[in-house]
Amino acid sequence: MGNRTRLGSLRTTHTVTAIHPSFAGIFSCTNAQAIKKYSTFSSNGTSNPGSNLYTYVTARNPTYSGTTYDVALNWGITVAVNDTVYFNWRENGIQVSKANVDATAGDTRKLLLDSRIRRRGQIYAMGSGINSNNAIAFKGSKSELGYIPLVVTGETNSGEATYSTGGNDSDYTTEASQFIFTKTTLTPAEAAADADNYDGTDKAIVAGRSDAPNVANLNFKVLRIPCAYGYMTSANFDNPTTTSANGMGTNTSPAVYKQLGNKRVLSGKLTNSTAGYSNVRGLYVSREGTDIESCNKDDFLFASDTGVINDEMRGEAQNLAVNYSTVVSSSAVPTPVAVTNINSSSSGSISVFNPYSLAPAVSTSYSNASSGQNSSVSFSSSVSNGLYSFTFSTTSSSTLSLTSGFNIQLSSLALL
Amino acid sequence: MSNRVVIGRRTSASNDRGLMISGLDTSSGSGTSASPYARANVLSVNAQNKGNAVHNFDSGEHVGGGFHVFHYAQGSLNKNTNTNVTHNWGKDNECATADRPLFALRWSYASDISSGVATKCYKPMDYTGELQIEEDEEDGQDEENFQAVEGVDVQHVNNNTINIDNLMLGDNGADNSHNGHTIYWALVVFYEDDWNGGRSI
Repeated sequence: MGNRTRLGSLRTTHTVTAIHPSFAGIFSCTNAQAIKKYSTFSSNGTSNPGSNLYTYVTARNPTYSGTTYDVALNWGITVAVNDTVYFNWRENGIQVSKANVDATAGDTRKLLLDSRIRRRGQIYAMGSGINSNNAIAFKGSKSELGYIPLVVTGETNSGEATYSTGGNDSDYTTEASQFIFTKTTLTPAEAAADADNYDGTDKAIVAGRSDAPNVANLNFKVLRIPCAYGYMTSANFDNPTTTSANGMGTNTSPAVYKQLGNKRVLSGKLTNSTAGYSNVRGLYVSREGTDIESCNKDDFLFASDTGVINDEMRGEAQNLAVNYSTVVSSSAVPTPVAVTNINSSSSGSISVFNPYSLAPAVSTSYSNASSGQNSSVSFSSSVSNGLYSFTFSTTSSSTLSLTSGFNIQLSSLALL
Repeated sequence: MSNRVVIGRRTSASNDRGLMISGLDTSSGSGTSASPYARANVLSVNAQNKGNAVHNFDSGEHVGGGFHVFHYAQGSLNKNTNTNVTHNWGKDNECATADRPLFALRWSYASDISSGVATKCYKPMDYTGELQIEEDEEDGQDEENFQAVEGVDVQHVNNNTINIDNLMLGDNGADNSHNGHTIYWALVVFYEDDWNGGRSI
């Protein structure tokens, strides 16, 4: 069994598989997906090579004369095929993997928490079971975000819809679940324009759902991730860089950063006057270059709910796996992706395990990639001790693709 | 006070390993600063020895993924134009050819932009509103067609590239007078695989 959690140094180990024929410091290696730009390099696992060199990754996937290599170093360090090499993130931190995955491999795609990443699915605000077309002021009395956040929504009336706006003969949209997102509000909206009066700079998206299907069973999560024009900046998304030699060796180049002395991970009792916390308990992680005991709330990479409704740390946005049975029985990597191809005269299945004491809202649907919902498809489901199993089968000559219509609206783990 | 955080195995009889942090127990407290909700007990398990309290974070075997940002981008598009954004997710992550990353796109009208940043934004969609007025011989009125066509489409071309298409066609050649819209878009691509069938979340 691999390590599921690691704290401290986030070093990864690799074997060189190819080298540039002319330029030292450019090579490919195993498990390259774990290597982030600006990771430090070591040939012995404990120190940088050479004297007073601060060697790090300047580029991922550089291409030379048509050949792409995994990494390019800032120094021409010579390595040979089959050498063992090491890459280490600049600051210590925490990594937590999915089941059946070794966290020390450092593959972010298979990690549930990776403190190397600046922006994660931290929940700023959330709501569920909403059946109103009115605007939702998710900010409340919390401090306002410095950006329009990504709001993940789900509601019963989503997808294609036809309706009639004003004097129009018909209105059609591919996505009825429309909203107007701002820094502080989530407003149900619709695409609705009187065609004979749609002139000049008129816009179709308007607040309200007077014509399109009403809001029904809306759930939403406001994440601390900017997602609006003007806010997609390095300052909002990237770990800090500097030309300062602070914390590095003597031969430093621009755009690398290593600030020593910060507390990044705290498990237990936290006091942070900048964030307004005094003796709150849980697990807290700050972003690179900041100290968990003094950083701003937006610099938290991870936090625990304080139990105060108006506070803005509500846990993590996570998704349940849809292959629980194979995770348990055959060490598959958990995935939330419910896409299955079923050839004719065969069947496919997904399984979801809900251990929590709260009953889930479950719905399922499926589609045939070529002809929509198909009458030749049979569907069955069962629930036993929290394990939801869904089986689809078809005897048609077509191939059934279970794609986005195949939804189980059971994705929220940070339920409160 | 209930236990809040487990690093390792939840209980000796449990297979849950990793990091688990409980959520709240709303049966105790009122959610105010003076009286916060209590913490749920992270050690509470069900008949299968699985943690059954509400969680803020759970790395149990039933959890499929989270939201780590892999790539971000923004830009503007004139009507009836499109652009490819190359994020190299497939190149930087060990994945099958058919795999695609989860992503989110939001867009704004020009009038939503103030001091270089959006004040409002919306989800991708296609919309068509139509009205046809039949010819009236007595009034000598010709048949007229009116349309309102707006759309922002986004889809992955492959696992390294995503295409954004501005289909703000305005009147689309009909009898009303609308020249369409320029859009201002923002894109986030996640490390997580796309669990939404190619649609933006």
